[in-house]
Amino acid sequence: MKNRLPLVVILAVLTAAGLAATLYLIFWGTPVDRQLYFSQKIFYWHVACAFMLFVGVFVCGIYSLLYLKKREGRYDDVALAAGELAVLFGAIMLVTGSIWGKAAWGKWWEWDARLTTALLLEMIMLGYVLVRKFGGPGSERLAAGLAVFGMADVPLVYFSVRIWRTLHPETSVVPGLEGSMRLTMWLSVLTFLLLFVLLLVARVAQTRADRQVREARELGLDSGLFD
Amino acid sequence: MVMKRIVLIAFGALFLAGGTAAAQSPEGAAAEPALAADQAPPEAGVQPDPSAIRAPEERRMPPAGANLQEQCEDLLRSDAAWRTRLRDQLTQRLLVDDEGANELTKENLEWRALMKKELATEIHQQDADEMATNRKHVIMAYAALWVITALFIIYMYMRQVRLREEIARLERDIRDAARS
Repeated sequence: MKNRLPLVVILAVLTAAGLAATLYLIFWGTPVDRQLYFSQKIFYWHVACAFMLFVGVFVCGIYSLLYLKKREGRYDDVALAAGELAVLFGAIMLVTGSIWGKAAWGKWWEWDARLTTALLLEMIMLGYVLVRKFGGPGSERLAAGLAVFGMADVPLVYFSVRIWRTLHPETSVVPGLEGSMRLTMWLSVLTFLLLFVLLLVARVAQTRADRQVREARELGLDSGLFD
Repeated sequence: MVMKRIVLIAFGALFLAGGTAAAQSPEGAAAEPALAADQAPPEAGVQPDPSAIRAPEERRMPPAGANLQEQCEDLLRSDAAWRTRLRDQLTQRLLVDDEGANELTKENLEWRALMKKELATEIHQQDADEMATNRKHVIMAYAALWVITALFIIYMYMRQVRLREEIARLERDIRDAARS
């Protein structure tokens, strides 16, 4: 097994620096929005988490496809770790979005197209993780199918604001941002991408070790080495 | 202008309250006077009791023939803090809190429309002030983000501890098997 500690340390340092820099830029380096005022400060990390949800779902979906094709456990390890991260970032996105909705619209939740499809995607990924955890032997393939289905839901979430009339701002908001706001947003996305990779590397190492220990024990039991 | 608005608000509220009480009480307009006794303004410097402005059904009608508007004006002139509180509560209930507004104005939609028009400037200003200084929701959002991330890292740490235990058990089993 490769020693991934140096990579983890480098990623951790870069992520910490990125989080500190974006926090500084969010609160001191960008102007207050003329329409949403101070609550717009939620936007930067909320959007970054939404991007990471999409990245997580795509990584999970692609590696699930590879697993279904080649049936090699190493692909499944990455898919499981990415699926859990998709749930993590999806939960953050939904919670911060709900709080922002309360500040901007006066409501914690609205059943509009963007919010509903995003919730649906989060539930699909949560379903994936639960099937993996409680599905027993053979659930990997079932869960992999679910992950591919989740990947197909991502474009629906992204384009929902164009297809239907929604309360949620459209995707055209980002290009129209003031210079420092746009820079801060993309820096936030980059920082969260580093955080995503950091957590993915650490989690993949865990799932891989977990699988190898399980396989070693099964081998020992099958060969009669263990009781 | 502001005084006119305040008087209008108080007049409207008391009018509604009186109407509600009269509808509930068999004595109607002959009910005992209430304003001087239980709606007295608080002393200067003392924080007014939130229950000072009571729900319409708790109010009672002033004596028959009394000039309600004059009474309201006297009452409102007598204490600035109470006046501000009354205005704020009514503004809140009429234009921010839908349930409160419905409760207050269910019997008089015309009065509600009038109040909304009169309070338009105040409520816009109130909304703008609230949004401009809204730190509560931003702090909540960032705190939620850190808490959820911390929970995930704790989950990862616990998995790591379990994994180490499992590896140690496997090593022990292999050693035992090799010995035997």
